[in-house]
Amino acid sequence: MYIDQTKCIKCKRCIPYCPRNAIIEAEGKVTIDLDLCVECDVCRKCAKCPTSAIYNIQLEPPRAYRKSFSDPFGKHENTTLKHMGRGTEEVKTNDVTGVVHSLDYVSLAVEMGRPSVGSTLADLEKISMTVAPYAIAFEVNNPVTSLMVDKKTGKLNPDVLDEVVMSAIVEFSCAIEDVKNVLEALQKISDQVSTVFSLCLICRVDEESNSIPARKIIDELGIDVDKTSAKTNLGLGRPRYEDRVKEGI
Amino acid sequence: MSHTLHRIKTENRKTDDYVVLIMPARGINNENSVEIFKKYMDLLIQYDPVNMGGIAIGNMAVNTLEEMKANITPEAPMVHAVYKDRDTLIEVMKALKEADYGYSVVVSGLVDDVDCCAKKAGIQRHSVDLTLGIWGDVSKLPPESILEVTTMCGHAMISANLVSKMAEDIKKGRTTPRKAAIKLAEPCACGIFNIDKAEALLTELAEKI
Repeated sequence: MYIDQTKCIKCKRCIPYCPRNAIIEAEGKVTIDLDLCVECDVCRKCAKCPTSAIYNIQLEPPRAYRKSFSDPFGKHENTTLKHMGRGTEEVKTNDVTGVVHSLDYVSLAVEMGRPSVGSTLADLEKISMTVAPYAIAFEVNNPVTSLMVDKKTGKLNPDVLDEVVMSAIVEFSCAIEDVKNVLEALQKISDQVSTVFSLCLICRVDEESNSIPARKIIDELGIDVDKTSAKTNLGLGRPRYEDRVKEGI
Repeated sequence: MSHTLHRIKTENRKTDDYVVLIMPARGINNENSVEIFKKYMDLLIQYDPVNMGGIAIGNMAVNTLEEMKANITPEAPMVHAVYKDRDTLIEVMKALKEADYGYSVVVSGLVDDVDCCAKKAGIQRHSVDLTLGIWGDVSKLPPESILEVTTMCGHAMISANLVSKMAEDIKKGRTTPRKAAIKLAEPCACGIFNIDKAEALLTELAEKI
């Protein structure tokens, strides 16, 4: 993002809107620090600049990844789905898709930079390479997976590592018996990244007992699941995954 | 797209914020989605959501219901509505079950609390996405009182500095908590920012300055 200095009247109303503190006032000018800027477009869309001084240019890779991950309207042109957003349908349509349909497997998502901090893709790679030994597979529809040059090791395209995004998600499936190992590995790497990450675990509910198989492991590690909101799929989607399998759809 | 996840819940505010998300599975049951989304929005609005909307559809801070419905296109991935209490959530769940329009319904809230509400609505939950907290260099985070506001936009489009500025403006009498909450809701493109909760939190933040 840029500020047209011939239009800017230095009213500074845009400054607090930036979630990355990238809009700065220095040497009598209000400018955008392009190293900090993640191209989310909030300043242009929401700050209501009285002279329309905020603008952008056509972005090319690797910088374009900043926008595709950080702007909710940014499209991931490097993915099959070319979808908006950072992740996938995951638990949201799990009753229909059956992405996680077995009680023996879970899906984990490590959201780098969230909340409110942002992350380099280099830090993201540290996480993807840490969890890779336990991953059955990285989620193919996740745009981060499209940036991997080696889906066995979680290594990213070196050209993108210096890019900064508001957040991006490492998403993968693993066997339930590996959950403890994954969480312990993440605890170890946690102090080697220069940002925060939010972690979540997607699993099927055992409908006979209404229990969550992974909950015991999480509780044993002393992780409090009541500090932030979870998501619960109510199973109202039709056709249900099990019915689709029976009917061979 | 974990945007309704990871909303910070401080001790006395664990049951005042629920996001209901409606989504078809792409390529499986998303045919005729424009008309079906409109039916869902007509249902959800009856229970007085504190916000509502979806990406490229709009939100209640800047759009009317009719404008949002007119903005729905076949590319719209989902719609949301936000409710501020358990009793309303249970009624919404019952109505969604009864309507049986066929899209997946996901509720964001504390996992055991949402399960209790689902049971009261006669619904057996299917799967869950548990949040396991914030890891890494947490020294870089804003204070929790600010995060509780900013995390109500899962795309992080609401800056901590803007929340602080709104609290200062309230303190100085330049705006009201309600107007400030609506202003903060504008950048949240998905319409999941809880305006009522933000109003209460901003009032508290302004009092502490």
